[in-house]
Amino acid sequence: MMELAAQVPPTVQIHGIDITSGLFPTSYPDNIQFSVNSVTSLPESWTSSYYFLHQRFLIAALTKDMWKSATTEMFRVLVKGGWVELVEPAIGSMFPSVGPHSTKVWSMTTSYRGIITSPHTHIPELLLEANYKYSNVKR
Amino acid sequence: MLNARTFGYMHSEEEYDAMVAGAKEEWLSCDAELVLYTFSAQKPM
Repeated sequence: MMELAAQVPPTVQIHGIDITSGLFPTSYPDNIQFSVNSVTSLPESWTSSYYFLHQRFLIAALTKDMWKSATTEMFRVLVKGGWVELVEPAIGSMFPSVGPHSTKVWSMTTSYRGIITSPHTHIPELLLEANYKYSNVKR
Repeated sequence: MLNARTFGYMHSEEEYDAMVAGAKEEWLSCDAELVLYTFSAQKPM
């Protein structure tokens, strides 16, 4: 967000959310704001308010049902013609080659019922189900 | 995961911490690269 703020006009408002404020910086430009919210349940007042949404690294934090809520909520808060960008790692196939501790972390993560383990196939489906017009994935 | 009793994989907080530390060390010392997917989608006009 800091890098983006340095590249866009100061009139562009940038809003960051997280479920806790623990990772919010203490100092940031005036056109950035932070708030504690969950992407699975965004404020009603945000409907049709955002031109671009960026979300990343929630693959192990959301179940498939939560992903459905998230993609639907993001759709709601976007203006017509607005874009969403999601960045997620293809981690499932990599852990075994990294080492035994990492494999155990992955096993525990996927034991949490409902976690998406193949984002490259599931996320485009979820976006289309949420009525997004165009869905593209690149590696 | 700790609240969920780690699904039977861990038996103490110390064991969990050791696993996380071990995983970090593995990622820092291996040649694996994290593949990222970027998904883009547009709300219809």
